[in-house]
Amino acid sequence: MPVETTEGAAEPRSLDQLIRAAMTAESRPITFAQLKSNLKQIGVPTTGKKKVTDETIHSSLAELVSSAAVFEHPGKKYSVTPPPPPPPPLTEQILATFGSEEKKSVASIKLGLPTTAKPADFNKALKHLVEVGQLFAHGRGKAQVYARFAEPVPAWHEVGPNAKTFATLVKNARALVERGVVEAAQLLALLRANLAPTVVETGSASTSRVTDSEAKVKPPVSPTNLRGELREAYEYLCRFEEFRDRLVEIRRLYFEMTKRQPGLSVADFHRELEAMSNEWLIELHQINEVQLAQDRHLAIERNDRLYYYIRWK
Amino acid sequence: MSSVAWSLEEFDVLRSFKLRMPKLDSDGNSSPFDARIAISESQGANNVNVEELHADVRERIRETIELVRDGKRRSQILLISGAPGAGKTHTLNHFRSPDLQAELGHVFIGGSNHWRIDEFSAQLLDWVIQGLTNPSPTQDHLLLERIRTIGFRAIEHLLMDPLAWRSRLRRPAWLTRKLGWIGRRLRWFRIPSRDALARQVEKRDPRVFRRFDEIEFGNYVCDRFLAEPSNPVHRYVLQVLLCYLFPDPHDRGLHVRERVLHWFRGRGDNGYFARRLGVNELADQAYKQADAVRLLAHLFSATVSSKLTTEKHPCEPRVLLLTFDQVEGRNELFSRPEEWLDFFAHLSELYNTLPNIVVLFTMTIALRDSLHAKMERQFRDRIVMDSRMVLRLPSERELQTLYRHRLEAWMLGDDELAGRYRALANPLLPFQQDEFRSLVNNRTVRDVLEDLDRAFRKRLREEVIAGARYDYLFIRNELLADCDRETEWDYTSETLDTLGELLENIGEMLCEPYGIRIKDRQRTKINNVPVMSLLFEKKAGSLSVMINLARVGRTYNEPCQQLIQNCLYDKVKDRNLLFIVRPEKMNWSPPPAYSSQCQSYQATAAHELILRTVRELAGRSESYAADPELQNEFVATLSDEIRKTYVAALFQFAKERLDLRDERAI
Repeated sequence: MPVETTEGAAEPRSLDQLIRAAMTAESRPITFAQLKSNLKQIGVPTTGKKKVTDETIHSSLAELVSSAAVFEHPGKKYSVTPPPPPPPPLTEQILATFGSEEKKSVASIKLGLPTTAKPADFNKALKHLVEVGQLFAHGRGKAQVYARFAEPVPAWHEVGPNAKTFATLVKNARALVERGVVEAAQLLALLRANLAPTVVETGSASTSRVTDSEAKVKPPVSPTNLRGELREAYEYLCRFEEFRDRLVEIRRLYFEMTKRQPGLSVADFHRELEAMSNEWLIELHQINEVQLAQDRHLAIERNDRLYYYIRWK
Repeated sequence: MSSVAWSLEEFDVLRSFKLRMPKLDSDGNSSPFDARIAISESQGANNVNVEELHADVRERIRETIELVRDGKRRSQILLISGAPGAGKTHTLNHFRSPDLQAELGHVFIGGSNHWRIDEFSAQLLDWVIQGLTNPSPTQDHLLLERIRTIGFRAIEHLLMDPLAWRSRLRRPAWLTRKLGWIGRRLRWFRIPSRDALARQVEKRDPRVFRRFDEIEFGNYVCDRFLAEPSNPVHRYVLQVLLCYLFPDPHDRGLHVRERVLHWFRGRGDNGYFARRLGVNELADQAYKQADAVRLLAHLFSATVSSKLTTEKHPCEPRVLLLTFDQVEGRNELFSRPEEWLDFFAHLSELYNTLPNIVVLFTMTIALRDSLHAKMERQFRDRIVMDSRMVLRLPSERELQTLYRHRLEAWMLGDDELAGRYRALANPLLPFQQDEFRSLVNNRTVRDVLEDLDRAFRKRLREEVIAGARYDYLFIRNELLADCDRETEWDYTSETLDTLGELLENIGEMLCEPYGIRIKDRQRTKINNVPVMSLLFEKKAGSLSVMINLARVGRTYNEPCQQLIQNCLYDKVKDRNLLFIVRPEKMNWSPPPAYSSQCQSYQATAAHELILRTVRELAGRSESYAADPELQNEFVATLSDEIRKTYVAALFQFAKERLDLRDERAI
């Protein structure tokens, strides 16, 4: 673009001013070569003995950039106007598309994005969001959708969500028993051991293997609620033949409680039992034959004694 | 000082408690809570029976016994289960009481669990005999009484028939036969009249049996009173039992009563019963033993008792309470599951054939859970296993009663102290109500007793002053348990620390009798040997000596060399000294150049025990300071005791060396 000359000006201008003048004439950011060309047009010698060297222009340009008189733009370009703000990261763009109660498929998320993103970047961002617990996957396969809340855990009595899996399990188990590979009792014991809510010990406190998302979703349990639930679970177990004398194994009570309170940790469970015992509300009974104790970590160990049973007063 | 403000009466009682605790016959303190494991065979003073504990379970057992006794229900099985220390054996022992046995009409039968399943019949027979011949076979007992009642009732029956009784009378002696009619006229040999016999029976005079022929009379009793009169074992057993009624004038050695018992135990009788009964049969096989048990139980059944009862002489039925207590520390009666089944089958047979049996099991919960199904299958509707039969943890009120009972039992024989204790407003002394509640805290009886024992001892030890000498002995007895638990080497390993604390508190007082004082004290370690450097002097600014007190271990030759090198080498000879202690004697002599500077001494566990006791007592010096008499006793006690330890030798060594230095200086 031709630049208006300023020949015949009364006062000689500094190189900084000349650079700014060379840039002001342009509506878009210009490269260093274009700047040099514009400077030449306004009379700055770029050749000969009195030429202004590239280093001089560069240092002046750097000073102007540092003093925010000139702004550096992407692609080593310069302008007197500041560059536009960068677009928000893809993860934020994805999150912005979700309402608090909304579920969306991948396709609808992509449609809602303000800018188009590369598939690889999009997948990476989505995976990251799921990993950090800001998004939750609901369902599987083609029917999989995403939402900002976790998929609700089915109640212990609901068989619908896993009916198919369960049917397959029963079919395979029956086949194994019919072939005589394993006895029914053994198989049941194995299944019970593997399917029971597993507990991971961390130091003195223990937590059940419930995903963080689930733990976050569940509201904190107040002591009153927990006691109420404990009583209900206890009374429910007392209906079984094996607990007809109302002496219930603590581990069984814990299993029953995890069905009602999936986020309940062993430490919280024990703490509540101990508190109730101190208030003389329940009785904790020891087991003499500790070698027979199952799921020993779920029982309460105190003063070399293993408290294995509970009885409501 | 005491953290609780005791009243004068309370303090007085507590002081008496403390004075009562040390045992006279051994080094130890007794406490009301010493016995925490109920012993099956014992009803000792410490096994206090608190009737309020598990009252509902006791009531259930009592009800069952009464129902079976009255014939309203057939034989029953009861199963008490509970955590270890919950009070199973304690509850069981309640039914051992002879008074309760008489009141409820049961016979407590049970004993050791150390028998195999093939010995069950013999073992059971032994127990039944033992239960029926309590308190002693040579005194009047239940079995003898029952046999006599049978005998008297049989005579009464015989006398009803005008002819039958004559045929059962004893044959005239040979002399009477020889004398003919003269003999029959003599009063001594005259055949008793029916009325005379009836009068003797009425008076329950056992001499009436001498008039009858043993065999003939026995046969009559068997026919009349046996449920299975044709069973030869039953007949023979009853004949043997009837020997009780016919004392043998020619008997030598054991009394006939004991012979009967030994026959039941399957011991050979050298033809004794063959001579008396005309035939010899031993109870040496399981079926005979089982039959014998059945017969014995049958004799006490409601059926037989009703036959024996008359208006004037009522005869109460008895229930045999068979108890099988799971012994502490032993898992089960049997190791194999099939043995349990055999055992249950034996019991099943017993209660199916007899109406007056109550079987009482005690089991831990885990054992009960594992046997639950087997027992239900075997005993069906005869077993009582409801929630009442699982022992609950005691309530606070029950524990308070237990506490009082324990103290009362402990004070037995000291009515004056017991009276003062009963007059107190707080029966939980030395604890307050809240303190007691937090102490017992919803646990099993045994756990509670353990904690009460610990707290009771601690409270009396720390907060009750009974005089320095007495307190010293009390503390020593308490600490003795630690001393006995550890080896001498371990127990004395920290003796320098003990001494350090002791010198810190009462160093001046201990040094005073020797005319020395400790100017400085430092702890170091030389080649892993703990050393305490003590700088002694006679008075401030006078000449001093540095004694390095070292405690060496099992290996001492090399450490001693190191000690000499570090403590004595190249140092002023008169001033630097070494005092080495060790729990055992040392076979070591220092190099001649240093022999005058070194001394060794045996620091045994007994020394350490004294030092620890003195240390604890010294911590309470303020308590004695208020009263000059107490203070004098305190000082005298500590000095006397310290004199028995290596510390006295150490001070003496320091004194001698200081004297020597003074002499040389002059």
